[in-house]
Amino acid sequence: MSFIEVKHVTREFKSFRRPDGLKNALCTLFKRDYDRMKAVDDLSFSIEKGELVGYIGPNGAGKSTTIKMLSGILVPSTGSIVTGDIVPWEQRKKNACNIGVVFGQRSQLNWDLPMEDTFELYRRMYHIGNVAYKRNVDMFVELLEMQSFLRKPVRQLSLGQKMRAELAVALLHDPSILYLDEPTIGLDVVVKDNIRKFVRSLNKEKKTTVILTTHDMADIEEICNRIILIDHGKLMLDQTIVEFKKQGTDHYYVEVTFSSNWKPLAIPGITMTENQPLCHTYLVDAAMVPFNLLLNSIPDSYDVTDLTIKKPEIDEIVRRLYKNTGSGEENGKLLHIK
Amino acid sequence: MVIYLETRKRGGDKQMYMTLIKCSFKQQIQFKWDLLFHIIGDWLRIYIKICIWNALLMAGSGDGADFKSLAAYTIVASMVMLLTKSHVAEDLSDRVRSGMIAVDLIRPISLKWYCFFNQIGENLFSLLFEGVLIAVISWKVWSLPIPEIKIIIPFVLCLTMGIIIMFYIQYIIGLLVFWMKDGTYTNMITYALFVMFSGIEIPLWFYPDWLRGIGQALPFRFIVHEPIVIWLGQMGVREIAFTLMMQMFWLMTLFLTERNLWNFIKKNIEIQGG
Repeated sequence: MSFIEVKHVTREFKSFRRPDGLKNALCTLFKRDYDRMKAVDDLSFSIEKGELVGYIGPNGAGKSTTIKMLSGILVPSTGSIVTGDIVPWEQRKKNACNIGVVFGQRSQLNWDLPMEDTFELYRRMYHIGNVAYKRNVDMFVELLEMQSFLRKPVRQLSLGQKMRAELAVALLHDPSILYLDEPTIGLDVVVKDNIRKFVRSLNKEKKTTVILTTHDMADIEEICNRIILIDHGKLMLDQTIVEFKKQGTDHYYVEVTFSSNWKPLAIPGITMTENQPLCHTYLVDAAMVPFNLLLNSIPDSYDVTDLTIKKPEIDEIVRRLYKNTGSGEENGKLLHIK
Repeated sequence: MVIYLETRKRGGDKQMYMTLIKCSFKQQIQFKWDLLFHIIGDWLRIYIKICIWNALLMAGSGDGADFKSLAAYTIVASMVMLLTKSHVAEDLSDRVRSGMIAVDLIRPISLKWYCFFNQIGENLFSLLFEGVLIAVISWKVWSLPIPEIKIIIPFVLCLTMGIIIMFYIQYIIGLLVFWMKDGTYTNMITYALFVMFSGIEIPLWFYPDWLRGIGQALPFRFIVHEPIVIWLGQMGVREIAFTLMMQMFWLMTLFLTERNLWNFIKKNIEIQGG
């Protein structure tokens, strides 16, 4: 059995149907209609120990609901979840000792206390032994560069400092699973980078299983080695990053920098996507255009000074997946890609 | 082995709750201006009450009570108020409404006791920095009597149970927010009932019989009025024993209500927001 097993999980929410007009609204005081909505719909996947999984999907896809079920604070309507031999919602407290959770938009720190005191409180809360406690605090303070703000009350910290503190607190008890729910939201490049490196090195050293939800594809690129994509509560795609990126290999970009240009490239399967002075970018369909033909035709049209070939990044593949299939909160469903 | 682990864990939890009390102490001590205004407010409230009692006694409607016992009642009521303060109902409703409750539930602790000890930390702080000052000065100014030890022991016992009863009521009201989604009015009703029937503002012996009858059926008087009556030495041994038994009865009732409610919530919980 895998370390984390999610089998045919569905979670329904009831939502109150609000009618138009005052009269109808008054009627709802006596009789109400509810809509049943599936936030997660027959979802199954399994994750092995030590995996770094990017859990992505458009807004409202059911990502946070899944994380809440995995961490034992929501009960699925049907289906089963086992994380490291525990059914999370049946043994909430025991499960809590095995997991660390960081919600990017919710703080678990005490606003009025400095980090030092919060560390101490969490040490008692999770019954962390002295040796492990000291080792972890030292390690996190160093890796996350927290020394300068350990004694300041949390309310005086910047967002970046707070987020690093959240991570440290969530990991103090050496959890075997770490759930990160949009941990880099609103952070600057340097802090983002710091956090990504930290998560990777943590995974390397402690074999922590990481499940990360994010809208920043650079997070996925730099942290994860597997992607699970869901939309409207349904599993859409479950692949390794390498496989995932292969989806982009059916086309690539060629950026031609030139000193003079006689005519634009006119080969079937090539379209110009950007037209800037002295720099043109083309989208090339790899199946239609042999590479040699492309290379040979460029000198016929341009006096080339530089040539760059770019493969699509994860960001673009995901955007294409969301867009091509008309996804997003209001639109229809993503097609099954798998 | 299992028993050993179990006791070790309990011991560990005790340390956690001590640390929690320490933390909420430290938190309070940062707000010195807040404390100053609290002290001023406390004195104003006591001064106004004493003036009202004086006026009533002079108008001859004291119902046989003398100034000293009324003053003592007022002062002890202030202490009890400091100790039974609880914003757990409001906190819980805010956290449920905003979805912050998710953060509380991912910790390996009981939400109830976490809230309780956090509150106790705050209240002990108030008692130490506001209450002791009030008590010492008022006892000197009005030269009030201090009861014997055989009264103080049941008083402390009764008061402790009162504090827990108050906390349970607030906590249960707070839990209702999982359905109501807004706790403002349930909190207002509870507070109104507390002011009316706990005896925090007016000793219940001034009430007409029918109103006192309603109060008898509610748990609120066991939070303030009964402990103070014990303190004033107006209760015999049998009455004290009866009061303590009634408090236990209420604690059991509230405990069972809370457990059932919590089990129900666990199954049906919905957490707001993404």
